[in-house]
Amino acid sequence: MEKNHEDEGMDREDQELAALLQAVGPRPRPPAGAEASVRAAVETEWRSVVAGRNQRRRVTAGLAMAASAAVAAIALWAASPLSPPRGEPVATVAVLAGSAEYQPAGSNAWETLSGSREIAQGDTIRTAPDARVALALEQGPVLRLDRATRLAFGRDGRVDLAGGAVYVDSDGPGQDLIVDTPFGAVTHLGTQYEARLLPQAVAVAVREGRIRVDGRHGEAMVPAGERLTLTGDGPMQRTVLSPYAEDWDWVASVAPVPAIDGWTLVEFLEWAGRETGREVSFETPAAAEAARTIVLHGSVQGLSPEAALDAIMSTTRLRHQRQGGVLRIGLTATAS
Amino acid sequence: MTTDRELADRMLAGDQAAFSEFFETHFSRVYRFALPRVAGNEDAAREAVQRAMIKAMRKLSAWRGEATLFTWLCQICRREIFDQARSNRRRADNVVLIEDSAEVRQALEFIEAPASTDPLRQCSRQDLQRIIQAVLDRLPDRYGEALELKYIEGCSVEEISKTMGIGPTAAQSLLARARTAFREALEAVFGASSSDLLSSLEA
Repeated sequence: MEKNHEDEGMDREDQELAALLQAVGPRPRPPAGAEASVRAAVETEWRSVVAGRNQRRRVTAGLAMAASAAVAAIALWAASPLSPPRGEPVATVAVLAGSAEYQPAGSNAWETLSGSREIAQGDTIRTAPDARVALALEQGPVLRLDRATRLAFGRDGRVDLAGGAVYVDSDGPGQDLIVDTPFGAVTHLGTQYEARLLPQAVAVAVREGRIRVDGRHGEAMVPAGERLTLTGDGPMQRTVLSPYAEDWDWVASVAPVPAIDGWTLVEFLEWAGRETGREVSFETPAAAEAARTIVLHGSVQGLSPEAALDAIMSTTRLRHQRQGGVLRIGLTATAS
Repeated sequence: MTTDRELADRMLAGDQAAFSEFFETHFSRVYRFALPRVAGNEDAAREAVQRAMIKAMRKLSAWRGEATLFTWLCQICRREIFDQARSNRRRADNVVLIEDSAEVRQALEFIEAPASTDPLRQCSRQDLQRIIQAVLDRLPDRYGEALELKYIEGCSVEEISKTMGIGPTAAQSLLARARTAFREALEAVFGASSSDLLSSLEA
């Protein structure tokens, strides 16, 4: 009988608890995608902290050796990979939006990255959670680093992506650059693409041209309009991603803006089209001819590619319209 | 069950599984802590949590374990939100919540300590809902998740065990501990039973 009373009491309490929790409702969940992006940023920082601790530990061990055998230890330290000679400049900062830091080769310290800084082989760059950077490489391509990204510059045109995302903008396959990630190496074949580290995978999205990914389990080619997700040991997954999808928006926010003074409108439209993932199409030969003969004066510094496009077009006798992946250019009613 | 101290030590040693456990245990809870403090702005909450967790990584070796990792993260997050609001005067949506009052905060952060005032009488229905959810977030060992699965989603013990990746016996035991801890926490924060709180919500 006592047991029955206990059971009844528990049931009643259970019912009260159920009613209370149902009245309160489920706790809010973070929006989709927020967890992955925050995790990538936090994990990058965590890895950086752990790497720094390990490096300090190795240095401490080296100093302990120095106490007993100073000359030998100094020689060992000098030859250690912790202090490689500072390499040749490999890149310069083209755009700095927010705060970023770099760690010179052989140093444990992070220094503030300035807009005029040259990056040398062996250096590592990391962007803050609210910062982005564009770097012009000596061999030609421009790299754009998204928020909370960590990238190290290795030998022979290789960079090592340890967190976040990098966008590669390259004119041709002759510009050697390989992006190494924990899940595979990405080689471009004349392209614009993004390599983004996810918690347990790398996602490589191609906007123009194509790339080759060498993963642990083989090689894959990725054409424009596709995103390939590659895990350490699972199958590769391909999805469609249009060149003008919102996923590319961050890239425009750190686009190096060219000096357009003296450019023809056609040249400007080609730049704007490439930056926004759209193909330029002229409605009529007359419109194309007009674009070839219009010469621009002034500057669009400080404007995003989309804003620059609107600003420039408003000063011409041409009109523009964004239609999916196409930027349609025609003559205004008065011009035609 | 891993203690916070063990978890922090494993993370500092570079243990990937420890990082995953840390992030998966705390991200949603700290996000829920931030969200009402930035007037429900999801982007602002995400940014605040990201900044707070990054700062926590930098300071992890200095964490002494006097407060739980969750409480510590909330303290950092609160400062981040405050600093952000101060540095960006355009963002006027920094919100001071009733649970940020000294009395309620003390009760939430040191859940065994009774509140010195009666929060139940100060609370609107919305405040009450949010504080009860905050209590669930502060319960240890995934108790909140188990209680929601059981009493909101109506899952069986079998289903809870599958969802949480534990055996049915462990799930049953976890639920029992979770019920007790939740009732005690409500009593500590509100000085009221679940039936009193239900009456207040229905009033």
